[in-house]
Amino acid sequence: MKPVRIDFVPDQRWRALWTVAMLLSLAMLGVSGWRAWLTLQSSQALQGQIALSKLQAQQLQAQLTPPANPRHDSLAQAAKLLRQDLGKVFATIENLQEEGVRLRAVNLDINSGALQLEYEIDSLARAATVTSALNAGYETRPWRLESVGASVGAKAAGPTAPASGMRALWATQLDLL
Amino acid sequence: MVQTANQPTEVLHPSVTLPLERVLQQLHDHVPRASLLHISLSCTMCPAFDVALPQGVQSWRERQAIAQHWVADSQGLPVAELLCELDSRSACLGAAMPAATLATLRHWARAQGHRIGALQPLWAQATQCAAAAKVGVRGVLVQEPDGVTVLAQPGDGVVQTLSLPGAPSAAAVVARLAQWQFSLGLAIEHVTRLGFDAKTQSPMTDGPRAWAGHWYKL
Repeated sequence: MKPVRIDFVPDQRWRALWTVAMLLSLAMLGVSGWRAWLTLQSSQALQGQIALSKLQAQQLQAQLTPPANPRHDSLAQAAKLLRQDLGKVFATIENLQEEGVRLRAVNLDINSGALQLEYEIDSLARAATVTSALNAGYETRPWRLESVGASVGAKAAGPTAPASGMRALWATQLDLL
Repeated sequence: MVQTANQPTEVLHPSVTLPLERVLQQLHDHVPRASLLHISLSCTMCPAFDVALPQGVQSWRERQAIAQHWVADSQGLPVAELLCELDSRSACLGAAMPAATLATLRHWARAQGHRIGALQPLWAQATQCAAAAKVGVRGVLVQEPDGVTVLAQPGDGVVQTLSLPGAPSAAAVVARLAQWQFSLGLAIEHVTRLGFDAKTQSPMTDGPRAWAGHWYKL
């Protein structure tokens, strides 16, 4: 038979047990909240320190980077120019022995390596000859004719007269030579 | 009967007509001050009852109220003068006692600095013993000097009670019990029979722990 449990006085032990359990739960909640608050505080402090360190690092980096000096730039360009092998350029110019062709200008951009030769030619047909002469010895044909125009001060002698005093521009990259 | 720690049981014999307040006053010299009291009530002061609660009533307080009204109606007492407590396991078995008795006990305990830790019917304590928990046992008979209480569990968790107040003769108890057992379909061996007496008895190994030494097998 099942035991009968009848008591006209409520068991105070259960009440005490529940009270202790409630107090323990509250204490644990309080400790957890306090620790979470401490963690949040330390995390915020660390983030602040990290931000401050980044700012200081940026300031130090800015102090370490010297300001741009025009003199240094020109010196660097001169050094770069001296390192370039311009022998092939001059050889190309010297080897071009065509009649009616005269070199007017040589433009070399050190930074981009672009090389331009401007010739004064006596006819349009001469342009094709000059192009072939410039590309002689190269399989990749680095020189290309960029433009042909009338020379400043040239006089038109009529539509049937041969073109004279024309300027033609050839261009290439220095590293292709 | 008063039993304190490591002390033999003291038996007082107040007059049966003496009010409870006067009886409690006699305990003044026998109970140390500020004690934790475990009070056992005899079957006359706290009889057992079984009540058929309507289905669907789940609230414990509602069950208690229904049981209290039912007992009050059956005994012809005002509801306010009665206290009922249901068994926490079966919920159809309960014990009733006069509200004035509890109030008097509490007042006396407070005045003496005592604290009441438990207030239980003796027959309920008897059901908690090993002899009542044996396999096949479906009922307990508790014979006290002022009456007999019989609890039976025919099945399905339903508990039925039989109270024989006063000091019925052994033949009357046997006859009434046999009739009751027959109506419930219980054999004699299904009922554990325990007796309680103020005189110290030979100890029972499987008897109740409360008031051990005062129980005997019938």
